[in-house]
Amino acid sequence: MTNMNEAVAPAQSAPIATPPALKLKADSLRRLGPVVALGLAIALVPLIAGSAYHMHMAVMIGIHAVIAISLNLLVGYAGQISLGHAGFMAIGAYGTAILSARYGWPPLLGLGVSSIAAGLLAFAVGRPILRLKGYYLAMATLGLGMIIYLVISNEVWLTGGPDGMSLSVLTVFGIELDSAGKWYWIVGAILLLTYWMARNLVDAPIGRALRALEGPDALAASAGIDISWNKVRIFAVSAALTALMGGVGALYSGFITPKSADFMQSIELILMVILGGMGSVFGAVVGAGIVTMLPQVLTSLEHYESLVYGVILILVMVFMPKGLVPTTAHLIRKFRR
Amino acid sequence: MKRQNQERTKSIVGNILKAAFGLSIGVMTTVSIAADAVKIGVVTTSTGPGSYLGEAEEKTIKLMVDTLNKQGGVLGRKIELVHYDDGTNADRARTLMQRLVTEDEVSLVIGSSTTPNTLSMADVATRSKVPLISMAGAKVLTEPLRPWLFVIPENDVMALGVMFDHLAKHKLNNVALLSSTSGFGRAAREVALELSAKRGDVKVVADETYAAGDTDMSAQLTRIRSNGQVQAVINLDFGNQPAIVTRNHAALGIKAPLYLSHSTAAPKYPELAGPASEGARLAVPSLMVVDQLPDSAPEKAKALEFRTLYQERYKELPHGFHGYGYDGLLVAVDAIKRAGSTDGQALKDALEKTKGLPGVTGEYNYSATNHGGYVPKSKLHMTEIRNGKFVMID
Repeated sequence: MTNMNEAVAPAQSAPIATPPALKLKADSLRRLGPVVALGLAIALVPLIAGSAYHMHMAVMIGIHAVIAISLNLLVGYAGQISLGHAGFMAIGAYGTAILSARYGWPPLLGLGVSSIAAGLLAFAVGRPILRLKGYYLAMATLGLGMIIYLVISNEVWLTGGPDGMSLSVLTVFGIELDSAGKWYWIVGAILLLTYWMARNLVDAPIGRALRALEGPDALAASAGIDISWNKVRIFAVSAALTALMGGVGALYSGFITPKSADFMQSIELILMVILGGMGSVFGAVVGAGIVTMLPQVLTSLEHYESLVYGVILILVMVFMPKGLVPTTAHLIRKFRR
Repeated sequence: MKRQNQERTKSIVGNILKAAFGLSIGVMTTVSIAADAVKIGVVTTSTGPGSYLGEAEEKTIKLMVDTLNKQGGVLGRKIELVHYDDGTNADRARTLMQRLVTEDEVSLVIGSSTTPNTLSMADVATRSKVPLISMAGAKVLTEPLRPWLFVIPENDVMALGVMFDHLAKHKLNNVALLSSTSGFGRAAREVALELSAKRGDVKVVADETYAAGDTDMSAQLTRIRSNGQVQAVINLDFGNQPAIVTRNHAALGIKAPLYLSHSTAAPKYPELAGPASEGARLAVPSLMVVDQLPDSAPEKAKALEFRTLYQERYKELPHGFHGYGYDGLLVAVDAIKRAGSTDGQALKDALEKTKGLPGVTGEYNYSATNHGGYVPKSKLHMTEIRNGKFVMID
């Protein structure tokens, strides 16, 4: 019932709507407000963070949040599941590491090239893979992630194999980026930019086209949307962004192992999207924050940690199936009425 | 109008959530404790595929810290343990190391149980100048030398050396390798090939592998059986799969004796492999064969004492990996005593001056250029499984 109300309400108020100029202003305010708020939050964290460990957690959350936003565009908006995103993360991480440590490239160039490479790979495999639906798409992306994981763990001469590989500290304009405090601002800036772009994207024609993909293909096609092109395009963008953050994470931590490419990592990324709220840009940020912090908060429980972690996730999904942010927003709206 | 109202509410809600998200990072602080305790951080791999290593180490360290505290602690202060489990995840190990040095402000860290996790932590140790004592044993940990990383178990080269010595002594000069493609198996295979090339008295005539998770290695073993040259089969792996290899080896009636790597040395192995394990040979740490050690062995008294203590608390027998936990704490406490302080640099200097310290696995010696605790002779003992027990052999 409430859903119907929502759908009907704007339509009813439309005829007596405000003049277009004012509406436009309100629209851009609506879009900018949360971005400014996130910017403020990012600026405030260092003030309340007590130690380098807090900053480290903040950096990890930032990295995961960008990936969750990019994954949410694919999963939450376009309705295409990917269980292989950790593979793209690993392409970014290992691409940057291999190009800089083994071939002496400047790390930032390596980072750029490997992000683009991940995007191209997604583009190339996207066309056949994204024709699949539901479980089949999940299996195909899972397979892609597994292949990347296996290549990384087996090509010891190139990747160091299961023992991992280290990267040297990144220096930009003579500044050694050797602490979480410094990386925080870089990751924060990327997060803010991604957040702003994602919010704009979902309200733009592309965003509407993406949302149409979630429904029946025939319906989207009849609305004049190039289904295949739109799916492949968002898959490639999402993969490139994920690879970029994988590379940033590798440069930040200075040490990478194939573990970061494995299936569980992909599941965690999907979890961030689902927990925070599918189809909610801010939800992805919240989801990333929770999934990254929860295991750390629960460490004091020792051996019950995994158990409590699982129970919390189950409870959230049972009582808030749409995810934390959409459900909370809905509850507050209902309360206001 | 209604819609605008809704949107405004939505953005207010958003802002509140964002503030809460920021705050929650700040709130994540640990409970403060008595200032005069000596804080030691411990990271073990107590869950995930490496859990059989970490669980043993964790239980041992907790038991020994309790025991030490009952005896008055160290430097007249109590020892406070801050323990985390890395879940066999290198990224997590690194985050926990970061947390230990900046949030918990420990003086020294013992961990972790596996090589990649230790490597991932070592960098943080160097940056924050906090000594790290690892319970993992690959050569890459000490070559090249990492200034703040000290290693307890002897490395894979020395451990395989004990096996190769035994093979050469008994004229089993042509061997078949059967290794897992997991991290450990792969590293051990490389070491074995290198060692064979260097020594020349043990030749690898067959080289087979299997993947982690495989449940039958009969195909590989059949190929080995049909190779007339093979005089001994060496399985390089840890966990449950060596038990499967042992069963396959027995079922196929292979005459060449089976050698296993030291990482299989736990009472669970003969249990899992059953009667098939009769005659299997492997090098084990002293703790596994403490009854059979000569009284002159420096580690015997301590090992017996520890075994009794452990049995009282946990109602089970300790094995090799318990020993690494024990010795890790022992080396740490010894260094704290000699340093007379908990300052990072002083502790590192004291660790590098560790001389002839008897642990339950052997004797420990470190120097500024040797962080692997090498001794001229390996601390492992060659054993054969007889009636389900580890029996020392020549």
